[in-house]
Amino acid sequence: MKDVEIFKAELGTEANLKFADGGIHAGFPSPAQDYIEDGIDLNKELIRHKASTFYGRVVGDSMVEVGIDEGDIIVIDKSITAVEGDLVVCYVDGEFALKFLRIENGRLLLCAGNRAYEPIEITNGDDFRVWGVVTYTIKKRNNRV
Amino acid sequence: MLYGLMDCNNFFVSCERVFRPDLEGKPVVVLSNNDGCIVSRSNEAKEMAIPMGLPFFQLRDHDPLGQVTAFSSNYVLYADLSKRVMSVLADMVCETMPYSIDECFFTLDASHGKAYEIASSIPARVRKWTGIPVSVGLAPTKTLAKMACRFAKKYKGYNNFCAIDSAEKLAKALRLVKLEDVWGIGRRTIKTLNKAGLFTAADFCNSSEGQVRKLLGINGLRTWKELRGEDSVKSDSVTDAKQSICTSRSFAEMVTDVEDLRPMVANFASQCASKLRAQGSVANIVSVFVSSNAYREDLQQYSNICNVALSEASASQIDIVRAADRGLLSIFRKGVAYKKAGVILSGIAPEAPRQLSLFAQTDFSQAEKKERLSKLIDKINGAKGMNKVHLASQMPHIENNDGKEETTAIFLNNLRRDHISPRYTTDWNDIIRVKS
Repeated sequence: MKDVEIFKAELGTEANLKFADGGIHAGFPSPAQDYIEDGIDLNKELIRHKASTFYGRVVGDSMVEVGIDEGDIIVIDKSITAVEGDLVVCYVDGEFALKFLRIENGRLLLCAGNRAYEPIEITNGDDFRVWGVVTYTIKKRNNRV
Repeated sequence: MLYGLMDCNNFFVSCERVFRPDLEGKPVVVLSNNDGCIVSRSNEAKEMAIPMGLPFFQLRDHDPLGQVTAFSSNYVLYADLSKRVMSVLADMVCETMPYSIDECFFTLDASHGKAYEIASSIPARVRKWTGIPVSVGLAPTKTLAKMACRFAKKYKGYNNFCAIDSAEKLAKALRLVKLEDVWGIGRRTIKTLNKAGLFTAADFCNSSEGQVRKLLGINGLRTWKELRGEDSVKSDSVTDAKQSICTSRSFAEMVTDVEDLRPMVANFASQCASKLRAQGSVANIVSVFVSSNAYREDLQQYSNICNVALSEASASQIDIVRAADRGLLSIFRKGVAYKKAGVILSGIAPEAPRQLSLFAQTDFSQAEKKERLSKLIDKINGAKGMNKVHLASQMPHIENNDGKEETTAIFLNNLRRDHISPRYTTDWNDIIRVKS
């Protein structure tokens, strides 16, 4: 009988140990730790300018044909200058409204994404302003969450 | 190097208007805590001769037709928009030095000839990005930048921007400005100066150095130098802006460890709180800012500000230091060498009468004061039953359960916020409704 039995080390598998976040203060930050901390941040993806980004909630059905429904969240960036075709939040008749900006024959039109709604023409006397340009719409797809 | 000052126009009112564009061009006021008195007025309200500080219940006397829209103060909203405004500015200029919730000094490099162009584009950029109208002044010193900003705000023709960038413009500006409107000239010293026959900034500037020193001492000399275009106001100071208190400091050696920074910021906060109590006021917003050394381009550049809206207006050391610490931790970034930090208190209002009686004796040392307070609390609790009075700092939120509300009532006095706007930018339930 042998005094010592030698076992072969099993090297075929890996155990992943998570770094204890914040537990190490000295020296260079570990690249692995950075990897864990970063993750995917929706704020970074959806917001280009934090200072000029605001959120709004959709009320009404004038955009249902372009996939925007009541309750959806819209991301609005005020820093962007609106151009024709943009989906914008404008302030008209005392409320915020979601519209497509169109220019036809020199006329400025606010259009809906629903054939049931007629375009609204903006003329000089109207109290109208573009408040911000919509950059994303966020829609809930599962009512259990 | 050139100094600039950015000042938000009628800031609290402007914040309300961002989400109520229908109120552009109409008289609007914002009320202090408890809807007590008017703390911010739109230009239209100023034109109606509605005075600052007017008790809300007297508004009808000045507004018989009921044209004025009044808002309760929504400090959470103002804190958020202030941060946005400062951040847009910080991206455009060399260095920023926040001075109050709605004012910020900045520097621009004068050597490449673009300073004027950059500074003049600030108002339009800030307005577009955040909805807040601002005025900007540009000049060789802080005192002159402040003066330029006054011109920018006062005269429409300037389009919210005025630069004092030539000898002719400087001479003209000094002639036009009365001494009481010069930054750094106090109400008390104005009498001394008037008696000596000095009424305009130009009169003051043309006095001899010796005369100024004799009349006002070293502080007056600093202002005198600044008006003559010589940069003399150090950025390290405790300053009083309109309705705000700021304590800030540049560090001799740069600070990298958060544990070194926290006591410093706590100290600034504590100094601000002492000053606040000495003038018998309470604050609603505690701001903390930090910045790296803008002149060390070899190092990582970072500056940020955090505005903490207190759940209730307070002058308590504990509340203010704690808010400042929380703010610091939220903006502290590892790996940055910090050159400067500071604390600003804003949304300042007179203390409620009941609180005043507790803190009014400002001559007492901290320990004695605390003792007096504790004794008083004990006395009230003894007479009224257990736990009727707490330190306000023990009450993080007013929306507690019923039992706690009762105990805080003595401080809060049934706070009125009848006209408060939604928290459009900080609460998902309050974001704007957009009709489609």
